[in-house]
Amino acid sequence: MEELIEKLKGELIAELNLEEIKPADIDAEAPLFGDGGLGLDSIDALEIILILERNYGIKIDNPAQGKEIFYSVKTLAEYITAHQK
Amino acid sequence: MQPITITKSCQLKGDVLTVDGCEEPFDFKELVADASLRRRMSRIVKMGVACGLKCAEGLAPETIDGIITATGLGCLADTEKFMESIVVNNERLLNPTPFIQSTFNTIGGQIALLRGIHSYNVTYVHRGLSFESALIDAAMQIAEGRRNILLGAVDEITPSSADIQRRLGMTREYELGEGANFFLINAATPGRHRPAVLDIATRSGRLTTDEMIEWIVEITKRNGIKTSDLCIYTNCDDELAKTIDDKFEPISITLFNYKNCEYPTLSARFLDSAASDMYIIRKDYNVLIVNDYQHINHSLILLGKM
Repeated sequence: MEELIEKLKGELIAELNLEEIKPADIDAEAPLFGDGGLGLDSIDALEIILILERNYGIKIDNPAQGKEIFYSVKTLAEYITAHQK
Repeated sequence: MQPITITKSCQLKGDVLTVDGCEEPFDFKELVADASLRRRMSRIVKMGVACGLKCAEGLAPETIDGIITATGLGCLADTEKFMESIVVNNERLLNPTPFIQSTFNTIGGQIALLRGIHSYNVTYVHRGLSFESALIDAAMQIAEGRRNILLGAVDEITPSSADIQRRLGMTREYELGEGANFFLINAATPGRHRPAVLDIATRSGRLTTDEMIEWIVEITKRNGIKTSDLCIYTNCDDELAKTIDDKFEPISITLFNYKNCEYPTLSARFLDSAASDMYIIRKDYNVLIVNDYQHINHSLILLGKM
């Protein structure tokens, strides 16, 4: 899980152009969206959907689950671990 | 046309920003405080936005009645990224950011969003006459009673677009360049001693030296200005420059070395140079900008002081 979390941090930094942030700066349990975390927005959510589909072959079937899945790097990693074939 | 005044002229070339010809330090992080907006901006967007924001500095958003931008080729880096993603991902799962940022109106749109300017916002993409079209529109907006118009021109060069233009034989004579210019335009009121655009004319297609000379005579005649009283700024070739010099004996000819820096909205840089010189020199004289973009798109911009 730790390895996947670190990989995800690197992918988020690269795909979302988080040029001023290093992997160590990202708290795996902090919220990705809104205040108090990375402060990502709806365009970033689309980019994360693409990371899941392209890099892990995972499609989110139920959009209502998005809020829980995208809460933090840790919740993303847990979802990938549970759904990757 | 009704004359328009250039109240402020900003240019970004490389990392150097000038306001009315004088270098001014700037920090992009201060200009665009929102990190999430900054990280999505490509180089051309940063160039244009920095230059535009600097030009609009000190003005309340509601006093800016229009943002008119010009670009010959637009946001190339983002366009390339988006097109590459179409190919690599087999037309599926395309990233939204390069698509959103690749549109021609990205720079005008970003400036409007950042400053909360809700007025007229248009981008002209007319090859080598994009800036001239934007300038004509700015003059028409002022003639219709608008107060301040933010007029800009931005073009960038990327390795792949330079390579394509070389392969197409477009750059046999030229080295490609890039730059961002913004001007604050408003109605000309006599007594301010600011540079003013008195007339603009454009033509497309190849013109002979005789046709160019005739055209210059025509624009000066209709504005009641003697060709010998002009300072000429031009990127035309040596033959035409020599003919202009011999025939008109102008006060001076400033030759922009087009061979070192060619891009579709280069005439905006000529306007910045001419306007900055007119502002700094503080003497009354007329300027004629003779733009000969790749011998295909031509424009004449006549300036005076008002």
